[in-house]
Amino acid sequence: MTTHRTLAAGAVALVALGLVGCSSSTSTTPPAGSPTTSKNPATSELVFFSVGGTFQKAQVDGLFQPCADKNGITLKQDEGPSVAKIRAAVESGNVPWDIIEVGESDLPTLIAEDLIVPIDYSYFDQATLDAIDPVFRPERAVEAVIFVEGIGYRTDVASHPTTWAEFWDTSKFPGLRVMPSGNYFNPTVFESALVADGVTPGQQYPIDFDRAFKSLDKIKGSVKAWHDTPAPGVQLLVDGEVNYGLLPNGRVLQAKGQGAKVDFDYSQAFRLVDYHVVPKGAKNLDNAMKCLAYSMTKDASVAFMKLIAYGRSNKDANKALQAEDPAYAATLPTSPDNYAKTLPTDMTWYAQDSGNGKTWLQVSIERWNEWYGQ
Amino acid sequence: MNSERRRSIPWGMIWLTAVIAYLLVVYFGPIAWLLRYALEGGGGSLLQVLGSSVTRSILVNTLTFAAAITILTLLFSYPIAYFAATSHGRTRNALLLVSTIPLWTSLLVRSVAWLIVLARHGPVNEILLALGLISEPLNMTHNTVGFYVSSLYILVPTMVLVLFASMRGIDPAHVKSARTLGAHPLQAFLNVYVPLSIPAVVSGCLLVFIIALGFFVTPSLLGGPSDRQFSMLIQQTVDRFADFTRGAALSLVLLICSLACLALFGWVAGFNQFMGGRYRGKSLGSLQRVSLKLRYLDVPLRPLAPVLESRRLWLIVVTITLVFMFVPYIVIIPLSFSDAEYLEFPPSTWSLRWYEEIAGSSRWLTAGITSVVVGGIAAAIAVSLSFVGSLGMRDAPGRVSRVALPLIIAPMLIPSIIYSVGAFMTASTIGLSDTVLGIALAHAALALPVCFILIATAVDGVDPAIERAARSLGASTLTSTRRIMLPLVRPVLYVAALLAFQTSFDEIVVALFMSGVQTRTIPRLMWEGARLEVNPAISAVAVLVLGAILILAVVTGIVQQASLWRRQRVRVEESSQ
Repeated sequence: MTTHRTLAAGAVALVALGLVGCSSSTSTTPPAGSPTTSKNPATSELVFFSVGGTFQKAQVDGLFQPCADKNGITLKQDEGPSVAKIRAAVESGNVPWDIIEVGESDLPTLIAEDLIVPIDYSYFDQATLDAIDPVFRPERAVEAVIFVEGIGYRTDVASHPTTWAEFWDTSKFPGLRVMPSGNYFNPTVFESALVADGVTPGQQYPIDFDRAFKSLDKIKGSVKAWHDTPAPGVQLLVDGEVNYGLLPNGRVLQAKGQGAKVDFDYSQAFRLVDYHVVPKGAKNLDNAMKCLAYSMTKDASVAFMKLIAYGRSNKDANKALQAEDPAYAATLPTSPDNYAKTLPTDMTWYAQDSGNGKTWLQVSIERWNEWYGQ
Repeated sequence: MNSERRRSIPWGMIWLTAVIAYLLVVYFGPIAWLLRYALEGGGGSLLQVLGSSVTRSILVNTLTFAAAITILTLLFSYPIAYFAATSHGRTRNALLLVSTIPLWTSLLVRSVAWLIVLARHGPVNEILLALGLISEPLNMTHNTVGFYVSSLYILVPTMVLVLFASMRGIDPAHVKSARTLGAHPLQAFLNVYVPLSIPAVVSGCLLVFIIALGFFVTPSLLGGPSDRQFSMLIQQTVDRFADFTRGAALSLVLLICSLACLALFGWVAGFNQFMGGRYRGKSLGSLQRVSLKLRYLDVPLRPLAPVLESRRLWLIVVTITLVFMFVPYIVIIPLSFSDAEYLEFPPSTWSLRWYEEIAGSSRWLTAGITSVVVGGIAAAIAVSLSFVGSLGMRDAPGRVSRVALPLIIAPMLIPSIIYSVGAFMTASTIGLSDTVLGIALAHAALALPVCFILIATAVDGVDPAIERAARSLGASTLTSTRRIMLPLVRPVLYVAALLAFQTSFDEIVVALFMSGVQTRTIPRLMWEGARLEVNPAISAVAVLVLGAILILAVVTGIVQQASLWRRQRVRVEESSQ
């Protein structure tokens, strides 16, 4: 899996640089079948399960609703996915969802436990397949979003930190902060704590939890809240309850676009990729494959990126957006300038066995809960 | 006569059995299922849960919070309840209406409102800054301050209602006679009124303590790291980590704590407290005797007597309390007309965009329909069961009712998070999770206690001689019930139906677990709104829901008046004949 990750990290770079490059895809996938040939029984619904908020709205409006409308599918939604929920549903035999958004750290577990099915790439057209690097369309998942988690700040505060060491420096940058909890979708709280403590950026693994928590002890008093989902974190920044936050770029930039006095700094932000998967036992398999195929097209990707400042893996889409609105394209995490400032992560490390039958993700959550209530 | 009695079917017992059977299947069944889950494999998971220092510290937090907030709520509510109980007519109605108005607004919305009121740039900080009382905004959300203030706000109405219900029965003549015998007003209050109000205080404190024990929404939204509550731990374990065995074990721990409190209460006061206290627990008298010790406060307080006895002081106290009860509305209503994408108070620009967004959103409309249907079914079940159950309870021998009553009001006295987890697991197994029927059945069980107390009190108030007269004239039990009892208590049935509907319409914990892709209720969407996408839409929905409930209340009032008026007219016509 680490190979897969390294590939993905490299591929984000490819997307970033590929804004100008040509599609030199090394695709070895079978030729695309007609998207209308359905091997799976036709159903009328499609249930999309994602992390909610304006992000999920952008996913629905940009990636899935047009496909649903065209095919007469009723699109339903659920919010707050987790591996545990997917496992429980697959085991019970009653799987309510068809397309699920998951973090990169969840993917190895889902594959190892055989909880997700292979993506049927015969639904995809050749142009789309050619425009997407194969690491973003592995056997059982397709890229959902390319984003970063980094420093969001108030623009009405004199200055803002640009490194994690500065973020931790409460005398130079006074005021409250907001940070993700250890139960958050992506464990970036540990990554930032280590980089702040002097770990060479990009070399956070294996995570030294003792060191990470010691580092978090230092900033704990200045953290107003530890959010489990991004929206409340962004809200605290927008309300001026906090001056700075470790937040996803898209939501902060969206709030900025809506007139909030906030902005996002890409320096030392952590690069992340989320994926869309189809759970085993999904009831609307045909619709899921149809709409996943649509979600990866140039048109869908451009529509999504315009709705929220996140990146996609479709190189043609990036070129189209660059041509259409260069100023906006420059604000995305995949723009070459922004990309150069960001730091890589290895979320798949968290899916590895910690040595006692628990994954590092489970260990991180347990240790977080012990630390948090103190 | 004798032969007729032998032939008559024991309807009362049948009805009571039906109600108990419903609760056994729909309410206690899922809880028992949970126990089975928790004890699977010899209770290893239970030991594991109790062995965790995180779990233990959260449990201690939860118990400490529940005790502290109960005392605060009592101190806050006693003056209002006292004033309401000792005043009359309009003053009393106004006091009760204002202090219980929060009960008509979603718990979720009330919590979100406090989030705004106490915000760094919220009204409270702005006022304090303007007055020069502080130089830096106070940090009042996501910490213990915000949690306690909002919790107090949420619990006061319940305490006031329980206190008032029984303080109303305290005969003012007792205090008057103490005064005639030469007691100082303060002395009379401490020596006579307070001991007489002890049963009310005990019931109120129990109810509030139990609600606080299961607090979930408010700490999730307003609390800080040290305010984590046990129910949050349960929700996280079941929902985020889908660890059902551990979730069941945690629920069992909370259940044991609640049952211990209930057992203590049953021993001290007896469950009939909730029915106006027909029977009393063994130790209530001794508790009253203990409260008599308060009279020693009389001497040290005596110098303050002129202040304490001034009605003006108490009017100020009550006024402050009542203003406190109105604060969230001062925020929610303007906020719903905001033009900003994010919560901003006071709004800088105004618009109807959030109302338009909701009216044009199929998600909210579908959720609205689901909520109405679920609430309707739940209200129909709860009211019919309560009505027949009340008849059964009235005719049941004391021994039966002493067992049946705690069972019927259990859904009110056991933290709903426990039931929700059990209901979710059971319903998933039998395919009722995420269905309108499943949620409605669960909501009916939760609404049953309030409906039952209301209707049983009304049924008890009907003179049995009227029905006896009908029966002696040849009416069967069923006929006399239908023709005599039903019309007499009909107005109360409407109110009970409204309350049941509102309970369901507002319910979030069961909905959080049981509603999913196919059935999203309004509170469920609001919860997601508050957690995932904070914008003024939530306040617009709150205003709409509040409006809908007020309209329903007015309609209920009119229907109730009409049926009273019709009855009077019939009586007038009869007497004029």
